[in-house]
Amino acid sequence: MPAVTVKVKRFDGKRSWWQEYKVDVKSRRISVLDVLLRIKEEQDPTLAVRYSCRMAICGSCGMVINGVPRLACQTLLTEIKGDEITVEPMWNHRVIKDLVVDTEPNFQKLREVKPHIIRDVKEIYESDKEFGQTAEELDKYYNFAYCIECGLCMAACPVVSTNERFLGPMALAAAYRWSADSRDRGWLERAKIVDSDRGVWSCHLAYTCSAVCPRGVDPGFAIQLLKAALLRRAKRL
Amino acid sequence: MSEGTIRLIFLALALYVIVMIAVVFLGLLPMYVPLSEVLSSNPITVYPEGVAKVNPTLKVLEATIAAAWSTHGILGFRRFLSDLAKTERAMRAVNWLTVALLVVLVPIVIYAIMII
Amino acid sequence: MRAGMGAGEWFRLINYERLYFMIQRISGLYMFFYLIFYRVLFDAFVSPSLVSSFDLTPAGKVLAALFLVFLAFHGLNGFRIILIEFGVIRGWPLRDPIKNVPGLRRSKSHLVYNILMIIVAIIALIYLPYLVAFGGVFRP
Repeated sequence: MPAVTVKVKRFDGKRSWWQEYKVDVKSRRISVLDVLLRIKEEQDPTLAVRYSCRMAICGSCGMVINGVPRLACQTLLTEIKGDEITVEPMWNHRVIKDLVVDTEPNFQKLREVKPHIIRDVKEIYESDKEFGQTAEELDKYYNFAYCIECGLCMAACPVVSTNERFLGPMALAAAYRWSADSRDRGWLERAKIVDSDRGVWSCHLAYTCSAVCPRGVDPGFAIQLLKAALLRRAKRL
Repeated sequence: MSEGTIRLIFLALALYVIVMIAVVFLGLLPMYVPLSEVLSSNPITVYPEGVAKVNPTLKVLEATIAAAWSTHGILGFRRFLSDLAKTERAMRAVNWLTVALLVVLVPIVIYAIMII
Repeated sequence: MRAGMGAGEWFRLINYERLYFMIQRISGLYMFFYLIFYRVLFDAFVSPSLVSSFDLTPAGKVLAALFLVFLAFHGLNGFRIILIEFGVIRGWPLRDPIKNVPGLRRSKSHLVYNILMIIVAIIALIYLPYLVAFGGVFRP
């Protein structure tokens, strides 16, 4: 039976080391997450892996596979050349154990950009008015609403690696998504947050965030759209 | 000054330098010297000393280009340092360093061009 | 333990725009120090004749050629960045279950500019060092 060699970067709280596992696979049409769970079940139950849905919708299993940040559940062995898989925890994050990282800083940055509709809702409470949206208005932000907040873009961003204050592609794409929503009236409030060296202006267009995004959200492009809106002094997105 | 305004100035200065270098090499210098000579000489010897020898009044234009690239360079250096600043205090220090460099280096660069 | 490498991440190449970012950064820093310290401060205030004579040595020519090539690339990529940030180069991302395509990769204007940029960069990479090495001293 063919075998794959999996090299995993382990961390136990004090020291880090690379550990190798050999796994027999009947077919290459399985995911890297399946291989890691086989290792946990059959060889080393101490291997810490975060996962949940196994179908690229929860964003839990983000890790660096063969030098590229990916979702383990979405990466099939057919996409990997050769029989050696190198797995390490997501870059730019504090490692808790093995492949599990602390993603709380990502969510703190996300909360800073106010990822919700900002609007005076008196109209809804005092009348039967609904906040409708046409198909064209939906298209303006719909792509960026597909974000599953997996943090792969934050792992891939070279600016996040050196500048901890940078909000990052995840938060900035969310800032665009909520500001471009026709139901929202909070662009001017969010513009003050993103128009800073912590916000969009620290983005240097490395664009790796969009290259690794598993949902095609293209956060890099959202940042450029925010920049264009700021430079043109747009009152609405 | 908002970061967006600083970025706008940064980009405007870059555009100014790109356009004016092209204007000097392809527009102004060929008024005095054949274009083939401009395009076959070592560019380091053409600009800025060569341009000043051709027409000393062009030194004023060269000084504006020098002010533009030096300001752009200092703001770019600020962008590089801001990637390394981990705290707000460090960022404030970077901003003060930028102001100091602008106040000291830009006049020096303009003076250096004018005394050629 | 913190995964990732700090400033070393600037040199990791995953996509081609990352290469542009790395060269933009290196070229900007090199030109800044070359121009300010060597060309301006040294030339104007220490010894102009030393600078002129060093410029004609092989080491001086290599530094000057590197400066010009970096200037060409920095200007071309910088102009691309200006066009993207002002929203002149447009596109829209394509979401696909198999292969997502980011907006800038779908943009025809971005593709055209990229091709032009690479052609001009290759010409500059050959022509500018040639001029520095074999071009005459400008004597109007």
